[in-house]
Amino acid sequence: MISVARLVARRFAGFAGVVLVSSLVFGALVWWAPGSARGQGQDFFSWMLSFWRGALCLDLGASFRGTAIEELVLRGSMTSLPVVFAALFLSLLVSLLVAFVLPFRLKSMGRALRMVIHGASLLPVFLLGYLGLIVFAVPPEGWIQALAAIGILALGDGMLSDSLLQVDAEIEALRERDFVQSAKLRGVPMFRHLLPHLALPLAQTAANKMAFLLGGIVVLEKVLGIQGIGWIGYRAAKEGDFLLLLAITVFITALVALGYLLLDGLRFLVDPRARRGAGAQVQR
Amino acid sequence: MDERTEPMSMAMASRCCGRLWALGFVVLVLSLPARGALSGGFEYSEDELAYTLNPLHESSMAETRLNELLFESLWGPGYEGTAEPRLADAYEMSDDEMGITIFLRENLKWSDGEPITAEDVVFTIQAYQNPRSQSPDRSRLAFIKAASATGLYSLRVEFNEPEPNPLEKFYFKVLPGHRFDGTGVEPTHPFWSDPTTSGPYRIVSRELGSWTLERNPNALRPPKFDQVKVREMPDKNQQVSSLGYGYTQAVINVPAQYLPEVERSRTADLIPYQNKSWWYLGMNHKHPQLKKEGLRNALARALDLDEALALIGEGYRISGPFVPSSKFYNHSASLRVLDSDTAEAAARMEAVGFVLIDGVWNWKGKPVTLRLFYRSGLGDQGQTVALNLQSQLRRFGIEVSAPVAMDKAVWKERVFAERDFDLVLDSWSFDKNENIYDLFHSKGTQNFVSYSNKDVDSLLARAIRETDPAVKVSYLREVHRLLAQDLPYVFCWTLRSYTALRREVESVFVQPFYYFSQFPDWRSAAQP
Repeated sequence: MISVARLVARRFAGFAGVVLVSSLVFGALVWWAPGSARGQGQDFFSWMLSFWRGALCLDLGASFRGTAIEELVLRGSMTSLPVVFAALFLSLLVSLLVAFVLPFRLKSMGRALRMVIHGASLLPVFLLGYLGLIVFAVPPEGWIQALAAIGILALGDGMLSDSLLQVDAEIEALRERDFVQSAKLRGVPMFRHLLPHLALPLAQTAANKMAFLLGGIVVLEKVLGIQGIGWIGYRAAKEGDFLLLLAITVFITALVALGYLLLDGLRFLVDPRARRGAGAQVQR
Repeated sequence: MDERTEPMSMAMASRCCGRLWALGFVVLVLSLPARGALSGGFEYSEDELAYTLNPLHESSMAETRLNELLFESLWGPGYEGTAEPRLADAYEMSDDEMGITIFLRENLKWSDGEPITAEDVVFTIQAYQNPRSQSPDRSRLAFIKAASATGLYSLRVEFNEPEPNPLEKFYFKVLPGHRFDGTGVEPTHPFWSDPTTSGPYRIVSRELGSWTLERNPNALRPPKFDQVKVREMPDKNQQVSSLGYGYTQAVINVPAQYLPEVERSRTADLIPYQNKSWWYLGMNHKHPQLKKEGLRNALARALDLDEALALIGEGYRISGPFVPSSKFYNHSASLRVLDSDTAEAAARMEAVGFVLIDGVWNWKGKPVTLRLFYRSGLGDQGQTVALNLQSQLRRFGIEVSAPVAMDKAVWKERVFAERDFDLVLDSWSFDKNENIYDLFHSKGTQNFVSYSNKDVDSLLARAIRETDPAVKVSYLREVHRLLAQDLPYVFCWTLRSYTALRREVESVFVQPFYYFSQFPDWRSAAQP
């Protein structure tokens, strides 16, 4: 029990360390950026300290346009994060369906569909965004715009292609395993049998792709005019609203680090080897 | 197992395909653009959203346009181009033309229900004139010596000099005095985002990238459209697409590369929108080398502005601070626009002591390096021109940093307040008065290049006081000549600009500078 607590504490310390170090790095970039207010009389570390105090108390002051920074971050993330998570989910779901259904059910279409997916997925997000605007008349607001953004993020910049390749590789590796072979011989449905074993690899893929998608949405929000965290960040950079930019950067870093923390938690819950490993590590 | 499942999979495949087609059809139908979605509302896009809704501090055309929808002035530009009364009802000029008594329309109200009175007009004049307000338009009201209310709906305005035709000088927006504690109004006063209005609309919501206005129930000129939405779209592609699909009804400035697309469109029309604006490359006179007229002149001759202009569209080159169609433009043969002449530029560089070493101009043994900024509001065109100018100057032998875009907030702080720049690319837009006093007078509020010339100061001061139009023209033409010689800026060009409007918007009348001045009369074809 103690070893588990230590492991959790260590993971949290790692998470906090990543966020702190990244905030210092981005803070330094912002501090020495041309045109930076440079804390108005404060030195760098006092300024960072006041930033962290503000972040913890949810009072970071006002942005250039007068709105509270924490409110902007919250409003932006309420718009962007559902799109990011939905794109992540959609990408993995389509990958799973293609990897599972096609080989068993639609063999003839499988190869062609894979080629289409890999080909379309090579297109960069901004280009898909422009295609969406010009050809598919994506409106400047509303749920159609959100659906378009989800689809574009799930597909573009190789997102779907990468996910599909990873899911394929995981399934291929699983199929070689003895327990899968024996299950197959007994006629157990493969989908249900393999799915639980794919939970961790899928979670790993999701965590890896999180930062990637958050980068993609900055571009996409600019193209489609979605007023999310990327759009706010872009405008903050354009306006030289350095404190807001720092807050957004730290928030996104924390989000990505949190994704990995959750992944560790999931691994710990699902995989007994991880728990044994933790004990062994602590005993050592 | 495969053989058994094959027939099943074919059946399933066909069912799946059928469902996919049905789903695709539903999605397609739902995603069909809202063509003709003009149901009592009007939506337009701007490259950059207004930064403030306080007319005292407006400094961009986006703000000017929005304020036309929100505020009324005493007089405004009419259909004939002459002053038509808005809040004012009548006036009496004094015999010596040194004052005017203005009678307001009675029983007009602000959007919050308070009455619009002469005290509001007096307050507005004093707020504009108060240095603490930091209004960029302070000099526009410099012709007023004093203002006082003589009754609830009448006021007396005294002029500094005789004003035979002062009505066009009363186009400034009137503010609600009851919203302010004093006449020194800081730019951070909450009014900037939550104004009380007298115009056709009032603010109903302020999102991150859009402002929504609704009909002001107390409007003097009730508009036909119930609602107006202005949306920030930094991407021109999105602006033009949104117009084409009917999501927006207007694109304010259509860049040259999109003109054919809009022209071919069956849903929108192009309308000339000349806003008396011109582009310039400002040079910081506090820079140790740029303060030398020889270097500025050399830079102006080293640049091929026709090449830069061709990259962004069509327009007319200018030699001074007015557009060629202006009566103040000096068309004298000696003031032709500067053609690119690198040999002459090099000769001028050498004449003021610069030395060319290995293709790079040096000053006292050190290479000349300059930082170039441009205002992000110029959009893609600004970036294109800035990059072109950078490359031209580098070819000439002057190291220019990669152009950096600056938003208005940074621009105000860095360029206007700190004067921390070497070269800046931007444009100025003017109303009918084409007041350049603040730009080039040594004490002008917008003279951020720190230009100073006593003759120009004197001429500008006389021009702003002058009441005889012919004499004023002669003063300002002389100012044009002096500025073309001194080159505080490299005067670039005025663009031929067009606005695009959906055809279902009828009764459209767009005036130079005043885009929405007659907006209350605009209507949708769907409206009865």
